[in-house]
Amino acid sequence: MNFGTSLLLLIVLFLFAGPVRAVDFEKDIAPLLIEHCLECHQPNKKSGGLDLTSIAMMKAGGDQGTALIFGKPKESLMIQRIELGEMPPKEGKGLKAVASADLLKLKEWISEGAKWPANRALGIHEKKVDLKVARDFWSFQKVKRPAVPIVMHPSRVSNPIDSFIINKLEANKLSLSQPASKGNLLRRVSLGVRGLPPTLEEQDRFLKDQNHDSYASLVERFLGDPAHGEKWARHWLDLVRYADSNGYERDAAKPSVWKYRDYVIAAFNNDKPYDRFVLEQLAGDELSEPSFETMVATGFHALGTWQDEVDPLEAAQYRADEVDDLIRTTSQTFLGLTLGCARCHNHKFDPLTMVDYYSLGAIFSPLKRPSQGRTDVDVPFGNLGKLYRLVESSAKPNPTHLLLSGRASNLGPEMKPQVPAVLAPQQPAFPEKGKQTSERRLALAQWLIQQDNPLVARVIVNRVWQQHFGVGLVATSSDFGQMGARPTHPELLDWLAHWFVNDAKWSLKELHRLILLSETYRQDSSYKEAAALVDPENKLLWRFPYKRLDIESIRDSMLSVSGNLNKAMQGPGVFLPVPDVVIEAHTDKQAAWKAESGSAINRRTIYAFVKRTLTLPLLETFDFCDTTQSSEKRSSTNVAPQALTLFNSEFVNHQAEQLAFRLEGEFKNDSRLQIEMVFRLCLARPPAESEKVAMLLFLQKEAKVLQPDAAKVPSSAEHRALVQACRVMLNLNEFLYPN
Amino acid sequence: MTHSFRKSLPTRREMLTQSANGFGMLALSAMLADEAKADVKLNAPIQDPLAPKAPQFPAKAKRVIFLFMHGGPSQVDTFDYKPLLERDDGKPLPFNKPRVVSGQTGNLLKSPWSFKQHGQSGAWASELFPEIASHADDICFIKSMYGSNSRHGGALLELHTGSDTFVRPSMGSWVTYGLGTENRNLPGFITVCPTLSHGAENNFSSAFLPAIYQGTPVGNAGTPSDKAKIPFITGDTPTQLQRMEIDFFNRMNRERLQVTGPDNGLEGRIDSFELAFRMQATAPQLQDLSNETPLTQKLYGLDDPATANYGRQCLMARRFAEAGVRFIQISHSYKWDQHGNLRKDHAKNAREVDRPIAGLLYDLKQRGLLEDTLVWWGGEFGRTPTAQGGDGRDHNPHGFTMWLAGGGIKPGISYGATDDYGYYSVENKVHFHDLHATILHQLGLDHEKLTYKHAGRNFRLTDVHGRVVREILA
Repeated sequence: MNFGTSLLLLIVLFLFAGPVRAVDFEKDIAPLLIEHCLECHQPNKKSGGLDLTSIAMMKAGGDQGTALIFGKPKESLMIQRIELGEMPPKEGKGLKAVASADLLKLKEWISEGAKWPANRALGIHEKKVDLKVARDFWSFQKVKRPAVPIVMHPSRVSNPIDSFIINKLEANKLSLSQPASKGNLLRRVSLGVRGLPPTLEEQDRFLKDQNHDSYASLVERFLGDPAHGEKWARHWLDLVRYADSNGYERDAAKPSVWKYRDYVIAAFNNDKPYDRFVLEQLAGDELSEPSFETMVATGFHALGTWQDEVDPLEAAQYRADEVDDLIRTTSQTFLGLTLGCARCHNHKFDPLTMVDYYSLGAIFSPLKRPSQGRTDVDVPFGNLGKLYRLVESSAKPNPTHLLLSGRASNLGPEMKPQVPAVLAPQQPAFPEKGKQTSERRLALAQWLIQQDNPLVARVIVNRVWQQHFGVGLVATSSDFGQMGARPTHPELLDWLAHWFVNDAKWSLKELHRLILLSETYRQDSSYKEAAALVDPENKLLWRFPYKRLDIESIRDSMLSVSGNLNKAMQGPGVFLPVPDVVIEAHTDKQAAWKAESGSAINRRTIYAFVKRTLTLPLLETFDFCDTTQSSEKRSSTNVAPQALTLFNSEFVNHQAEQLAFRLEGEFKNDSRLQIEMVFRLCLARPPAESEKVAMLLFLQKEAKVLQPDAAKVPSSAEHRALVQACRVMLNLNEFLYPN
Repeated sequence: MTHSFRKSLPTRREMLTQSANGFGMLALSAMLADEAKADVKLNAPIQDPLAPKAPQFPAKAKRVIFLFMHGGPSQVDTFDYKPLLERDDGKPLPFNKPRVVSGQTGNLLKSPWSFKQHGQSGAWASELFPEIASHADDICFIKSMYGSNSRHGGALLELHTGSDTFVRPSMGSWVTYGLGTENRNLPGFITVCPTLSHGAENNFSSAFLPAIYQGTPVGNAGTPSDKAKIPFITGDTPTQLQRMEIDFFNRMNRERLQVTGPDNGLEGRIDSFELAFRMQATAPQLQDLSNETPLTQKLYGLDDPATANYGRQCLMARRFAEAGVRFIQISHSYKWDQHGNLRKDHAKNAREVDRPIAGLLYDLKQRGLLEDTLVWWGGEFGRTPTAQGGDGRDHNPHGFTMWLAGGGIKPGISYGATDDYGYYSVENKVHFHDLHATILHQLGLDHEKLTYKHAGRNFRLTDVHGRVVREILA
């Protein structure tokens, strides 16, 4: 045998004789235990009394005795249970069976004496996700602009939105509904863009305008109306858990928080590009030239609830909850990801790990609330005034740690600032230290608004779509992950996202324009039986969907038609009147709520003071959002208490009476003309003859039953009948569900 | 009271057809359908979310009455008799105290009230609750309760929602979500005179569950119970005129539906006005206690100014229970927090509720309602056996007593125990999560399977905790 053959033989032997290297704990054993066993067998859970995170606990065993016997794999209980196929359990946990090669290694390791590095404790946070596979998921892929499809019937295509929508409709043998009537379209776009109904003058102007671009100019007028910002800012405030008070026991007012609300309104009215909007809110204080405005924008971080009295021994845990609020709000609002689920263990469904969670935490944890004892305070900005925000006091903050099982008392390894790994093949550069602050948020914000971030543009265009059509192209607008809905029109979503960044340069008004001018938006809302059989949920948009107005638009509409709306903008929140019983039990009734009076209470609903423990009954019954966390969508219920509220609340009754006065002022005793006018005011259309007759009959019947009431001015039965008719108008389905 | 229900609901298509044929049979349609959530369930037939649902397994209880003693009644002065506390009065606690909450506590303070055993079961009770004690054989005392939060706000939220940090659905919301309601003229979850502090509406909110499951408050802690009403339940409009108005309203809405075509949201809204109209009649009727016999009124203590307020709440609770409301909470408002004035105020508080609660137990039993009504008594925590000042006790979530009666719970037993001085729960400990799991179990709901998907995952009342305390089940 020469040297060559013996070498060959050696190699063959090497290959067939099994592993020559000893089993390596970190490479072979730790990942295996973490992957297959730790979900249940860890100090926090200890299924069957067993903890497999250290050799001592493994040896100590569980209810059925020790898990392993050194040197004797066959007699070790853990091996036996694995070989019997009992572990990991097949059901419920989604854990994979141990591969036979891994089992061999495990046995080998036990044979060799189960060597475990000193002081090494395994943790569930070490569980890895396969990023390469994870990045194949649709929403983590880069946005590419798909080709605009060619449709069979291009006559209804006014822009690419229509091409995508019609293409899908045609594939299902459906088509868009006919264009909505001018009146219906006017009311729809007025409420959709401004949250207010069209005035009589606006109706006259548009209905008489015969120019071919009359609708486009209408859209321009409405987008240019400051009321637009007031309507759309509210949607943003829902997302960022805006309220005017801190919640919890004392629920004290946040001082200048309203400046943030006004900032958002102005941003939408001035069409601040969305990338800039994101940047200012996350890091307006870390820009090279911060202004009063960009500092106010960072109030974003301070909007959450704040417990002003914390048991000192709970302080660390409470602090972790505060950072949690920032992580959740940011990841849901801008990325549409439920990263908050990765606080105590890796996300169950999405490729988001505890390391991702706490790395993002490292970006926010330097932020502190500059309170003085239990008092929440503003921060001065030079001599330009005070504003409300959190502050970072050091250029190089203290280290942040992963918290095992989410418990502040349970410090894990130190975490560096990072963005979720699945979204960033390459991490952005986080500075070691900044100038005055850590500048970590600045790096985060710049990464978010980079062109190739796969989520930020998709998420925001979807949110805008959701507000216009009731449902987003992705129905779960703050969850673009595994458990979220898949897009109904993936190509359209990507086209819009790509166009929004590259063509519209992040301009939200451009996006509104594109949507509002599409034929898809301008179609009629009537039911079509044949189409409903194919697509009962109207997911393909064969008609414009009905959706109930949000409570802000309902209340503002009532004020508008009664002629009482006070259009003043900006300023501290207004304390609207509330029924006595609502504040009765507050220990400090006077301090809790000082209701205002006069025209202040007729301002738009967005200016109402939002107290976290005292939601106005009108707002509460009509599905106002939960202000303690980011809310992506209002519920839309029709519960009986809403009917009670609309019939019996002082506010609605007062507006009905004011509306009746308005009609009487205009057309003294002419019921027919009054009816014409009330229909135009409330529904932006004239009454049908049958409706007119029905109302006339109602007025006559009511007036007969009603006695003149001397206590009221005017006392006549006719007036009071008219008030009741007005109340019905303000309650009509059509009033709350525009066509 | 009997109710008739349509067992199976029409599919969306059937409903659309029906409505296209003249709007018939829509009373039970998806009037309360929550569009926001419906989006996610693609083609599932739309069902009335409040329609009564079969429990997940046969239930022992159909409804719950929770007698909430806000503030934290003291276990060692009520039902948890501790001879050593009496013996060692004034001495230091012989083991470590937990962390101090609102202030230092000093040495042991014996109960100013004497204890004796009651009934066949020999359950201990202090002289604070002579009337409740006379029902000892109907009651299961859980003496080993413990919670995680020592502040009112956190403890209330934990008690009501299972979480002391986050806004989560209240237990009553979960129950209504799981079982629907038996009376279509009333909400499924009613809370009478709820507190407006310590989390306020979060204690009866549906959080991320659809809003229809949220508790309907009847008055609040500041309202005397004879003035407590569902918000806006009455208006200035006489019924006859309101009927005319609703008829006109219906006519206009339906005429419009001929133009627009059928639509669940629009039709559901018409129905909600009818329900509201009925509720306006039903709810005040149920709250009108004047047609109860003088004997019954007396039973609940309505004849005594000290007991009348809570007595009315108890009597209302029975009437709501009879009418098919699923979860009824009646709160004895923030009164039980005796950091000082223990002797005077605990005595006053007990006096206010003792007879009404005993009356409720007696009345439920004689009407055969106790069998399937689970009555639950307790506060957000107990109090320390050590003294604050000379006449007070601090909050103590580490060990306290709650009791259950009826609804398939073993009567006449005590379960679990605190240490010799009544500070810590030590034997057969029962956490709020365990109690929640047990109550859901009695209603035929598995606490691990009663889930709702929100923000990407399934939530439940007991989060990842909870054990059904099978030892106390009859």
